[in-house]
Amino acid sequence: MAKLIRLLPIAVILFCWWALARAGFLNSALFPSPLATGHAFVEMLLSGELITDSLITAGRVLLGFVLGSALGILIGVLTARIKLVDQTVGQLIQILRPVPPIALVPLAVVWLGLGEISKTSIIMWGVFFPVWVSTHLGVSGVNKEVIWAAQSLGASGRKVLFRVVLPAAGRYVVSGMRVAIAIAFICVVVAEMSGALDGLGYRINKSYVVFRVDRMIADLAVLGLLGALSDFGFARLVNRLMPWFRL
Amino acid sequence: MLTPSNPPTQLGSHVQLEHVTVSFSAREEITAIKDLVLEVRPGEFLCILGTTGCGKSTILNVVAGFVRPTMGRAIVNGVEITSPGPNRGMVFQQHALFPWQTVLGNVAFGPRCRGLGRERSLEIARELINVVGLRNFAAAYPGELSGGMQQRVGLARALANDPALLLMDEPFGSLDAQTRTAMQELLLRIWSGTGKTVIFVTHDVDEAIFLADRIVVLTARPGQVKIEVPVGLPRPREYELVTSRPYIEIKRQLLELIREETLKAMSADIRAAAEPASS
Repeated sequence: MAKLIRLLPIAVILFCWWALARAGFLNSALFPSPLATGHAFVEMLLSGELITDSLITAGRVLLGFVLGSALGILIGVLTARIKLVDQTVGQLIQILRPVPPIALVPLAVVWLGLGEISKTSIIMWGVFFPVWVSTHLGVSGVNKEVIWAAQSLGASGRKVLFRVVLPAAGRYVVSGMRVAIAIAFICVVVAEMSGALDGLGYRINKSYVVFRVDRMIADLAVLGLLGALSDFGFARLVNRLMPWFRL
Repeated sequence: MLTPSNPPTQLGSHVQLEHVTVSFSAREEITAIKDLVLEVRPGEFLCILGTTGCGKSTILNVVAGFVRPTMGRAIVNGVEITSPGPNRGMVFQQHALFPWQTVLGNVAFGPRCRGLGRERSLEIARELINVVGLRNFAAAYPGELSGGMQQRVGLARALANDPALLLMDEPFGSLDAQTRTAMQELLLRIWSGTGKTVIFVTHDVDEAIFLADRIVVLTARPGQVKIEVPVGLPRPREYELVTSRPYIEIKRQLLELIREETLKAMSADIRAAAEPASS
């Protein structure tokens, strides 16, 4: 019953959508019915293009997310632990941070071409900042007494870092990464719309050019689903790896 | 009784504080303790009693090696303390457990750090978890435990390195009265016969009398030893002790001293507050 209630909003939207399209006062090319959209979805699914595009987009998100997160965590630990790094690299990051990844797309294409490197870089750029900020705050905010406790139990400097500081900062790092998932999806679509030959973002743009609103909506739904699945999968993974707190 | 595999009696640490001063520079310079001289004999259970903010935790932090004295030095078994080490176990006021590790992982942390094997470390940890009565909670995370249980884990974790000196910073201060009493009895039971030296900081007069061989009362900040009171009550101590005549006599004497000190500090504060107005 509780699960059915979760599905209720979707059912309501689908019904309203269907009723509006059915009423007939909207242009069906601009406003395709759920059925027409479903038809476009099946068509793209059968041709294999939907699955290919989804896998390509998901792969780009994953690569950019993993690399951007790794860089964010590494630099975050360094800026939080070493004052000199914070004063130099940290300052630089603060200056670069307000530049939105979307604004970097043309430059990325010019410098890095239309290949995967430019797309991965855009996603990394978007992912890096929230992960860096949360790692920096998490690491520098670790309870002093927990570190003392480890030291008085005989932990070396390296052990304190890996066994105490990093796990203690874990929940901050993870929440930064969760924010970054959503940003990674924004970045991948932007990158695919303005310099790619495949992926869901490219396909949405192409459908726009040939005026296939039904295909656009189907692709958007798949994109939404991918994002939700990623978030869900990430939460599952974190709960599994860090069972002491629930995401 | 603590770790049956070890010989039951070891020699507790000998602690000497030689004219220790600790100042912090926050917005203004704060002197937490000033020219403190204190000696703790091997095997002695010393309670440091003082009001909030008198620097009693700072004393433990110096002996533990977390804080370096601005002046003077802390010596344990003839060696000057410059950094934390596993020969001094610490139990923190807010337990400071590792929330990402199970009870077993927390207690085994010390032995693991000292390079004992995984198996041996877990064996030691299980033994101590039994001693503090948490056998059924070895796999739980600290966040799932009550305050009293968390502090028992903190005690077991500190004991896992079998330190000759145990430092305890108001460990039972945030527990309810019944739990606190039970924890005090548990602590004495575990400690008796081990020969360990204990320095126990508290602001609770009853706790100090019940536990200590000797009580040191600190002045308000900057902390200095105001007076020392030996507690000659027989051991083992059970909680009925708190209604006995010798106990009440010691308590009366202590309370008087503390009251005197508090009033002195208050009137000094009032004088200090009045000064700018008069000048």
